Amino acid sequence: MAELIRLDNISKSFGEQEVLDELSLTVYENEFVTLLGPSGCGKTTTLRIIGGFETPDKGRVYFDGQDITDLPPNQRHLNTVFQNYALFPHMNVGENIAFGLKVSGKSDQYIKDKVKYALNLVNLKGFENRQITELSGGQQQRIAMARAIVNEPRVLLLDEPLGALDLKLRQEMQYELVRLKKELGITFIYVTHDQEEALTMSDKVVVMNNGYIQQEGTPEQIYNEPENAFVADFIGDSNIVPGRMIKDKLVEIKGTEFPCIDGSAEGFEPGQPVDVVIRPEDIEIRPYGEGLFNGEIISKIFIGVHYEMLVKSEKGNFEWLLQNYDEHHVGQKIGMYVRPENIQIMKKPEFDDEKAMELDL
Amino acid sequence: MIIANKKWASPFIIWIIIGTIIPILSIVYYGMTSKDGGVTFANLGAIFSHDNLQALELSLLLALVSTIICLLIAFPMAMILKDSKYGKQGFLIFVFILPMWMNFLLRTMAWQVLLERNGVINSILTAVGLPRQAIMNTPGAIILGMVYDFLPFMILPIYNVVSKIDKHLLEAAYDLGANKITVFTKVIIPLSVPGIVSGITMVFIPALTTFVISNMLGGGKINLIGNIIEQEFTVNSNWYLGSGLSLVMMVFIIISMLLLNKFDKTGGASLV
Repeated sequence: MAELIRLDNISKSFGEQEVLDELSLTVYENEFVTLLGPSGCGKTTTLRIIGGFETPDKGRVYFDGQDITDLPPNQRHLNTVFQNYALFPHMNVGENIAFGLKVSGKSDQYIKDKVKYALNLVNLKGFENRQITELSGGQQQRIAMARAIVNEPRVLLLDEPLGALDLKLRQEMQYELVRLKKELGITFIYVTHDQEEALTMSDKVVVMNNGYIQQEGTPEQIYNEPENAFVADFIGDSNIVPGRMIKDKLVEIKGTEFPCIDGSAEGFEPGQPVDVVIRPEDIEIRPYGEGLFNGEIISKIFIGVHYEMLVKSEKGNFEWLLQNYDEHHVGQKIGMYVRPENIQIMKKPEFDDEKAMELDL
Repeated sequence: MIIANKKWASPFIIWIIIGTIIPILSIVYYGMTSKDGGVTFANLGAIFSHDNLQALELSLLLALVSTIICLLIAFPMAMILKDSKYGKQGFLIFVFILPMWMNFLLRTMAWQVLLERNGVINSILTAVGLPRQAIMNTPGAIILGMVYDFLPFMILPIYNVVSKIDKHLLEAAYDLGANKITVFTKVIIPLSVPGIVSGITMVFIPALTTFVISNMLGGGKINLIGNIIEQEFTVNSNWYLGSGLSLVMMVFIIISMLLLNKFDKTGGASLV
């Protein structure tokens, strides 16, 4: 894959507040890249710098090898789908979609065909003469997509485009976006705070916090091998527990020794304090005494496909989050087992932004 | 809703009856009757007399010119006020509204002092060795007075709509390849139409019917339709003719409002 966009050591502050600190990122041609993080992590600012709406204080932006840092948005070969869609209220659907084509002086026939093609693509055939105010949120979202893609950009920037839609519609639109991307064969850079959206659609997920990239990788890598507590915590439910390496491929957590697959080869030396991530679905329930450690179920809820339980361990008195398809009862004593490959060892956070988020519940 | 309750609405209904409906009905009555009490259309037809038509034409012309000048000054002004680069927005707006708090007779009188033959401007001109200018009692002086008096009424509604334009819409337009001029003509201006329409309304109508500004800065030599109507009521005590001409003006204004509202699709700022 050829490199298409490269951010080189970008820093950006708004007044006193530092939003991005020496961020570097490479986006390849035809990639679906998602910038994922909590609000205020700098993901939208990164997107706006790529779009040309913000100028970085430091660092350069390269597009196809050319330095575009100082190029205004109207001269960049990319288009944006804005968070609130930003459709022109004084134009109808057709005029909205045609705006970019008219500006670039395309012929009437070309514009007409292209608008029709774009409406077809977003499944809103025959909507040319509708007013923007007559459209539902989901339809406005599609029109915003159509307005951007008629210009045949090489990169489409999407700023939380599904944020305002309800859950069902959001899930439908996720499939739709992936289909659109395949049909168009262009690069998508997508900003969201929704980890599910990021995992389902992306080729590459970039997890950000406090202006720093925490981890970059495929959805599988991000989910299965989080590099720090922040990533582990932000991507799905997880048990994040302090532990200590006993020896190569053996870690001690809350008084229990767990065989794992990480060790000296990954830079974890015996005696080193570490953080351990165990996904709730990876803790298997065994009869009492037959697992690696024992505990008592203290709460249970049914959340659709599976049950979610809190289990207090006998050793260490720690509350583990478990997910299981089978029903167990509160008060039941169980044994628990975790496969070595499901134990993810991480270095202790060195900086605040690598720590798990503290939620006010 | 408590407001919809009839009991609460009654003071306002009484107010409307006393303040609007009765006066209009009496104008209609006087306008359609002759001095001896019979029904007549002569008072309405009087608008077609040579003098009255000339006054109406001049009124329309002066009102139109001052409205256009106000618009040309107000739009860039509103854009500057809106731009957050001029951080002290609040202060700038305050400076523009400040004159509105003063009685407009006083403001017009101030121009009298400035423009007179021996006024401030001519004193300065002669002091630096330039010839005196006869500005006073010309249509130009009246236009100047109108623009000065009515400008805030143009700036405020335009500032209001311009400052509410979603900045993402402008970004979207740039994003789609538009340059600054295109963004201005294709996005900012169309979205400002409601403000422009109400600004024009608030400047054009008072300018069309004014008699004070033309009295004070026209020295009684320039007769606008407002002056003629005023004189019928005050000097000639002919309420019948004055009311008749007023009725014609009212129709004029209603027609121009209807025409203006055609431009404002949203109808948000319409006053009719």
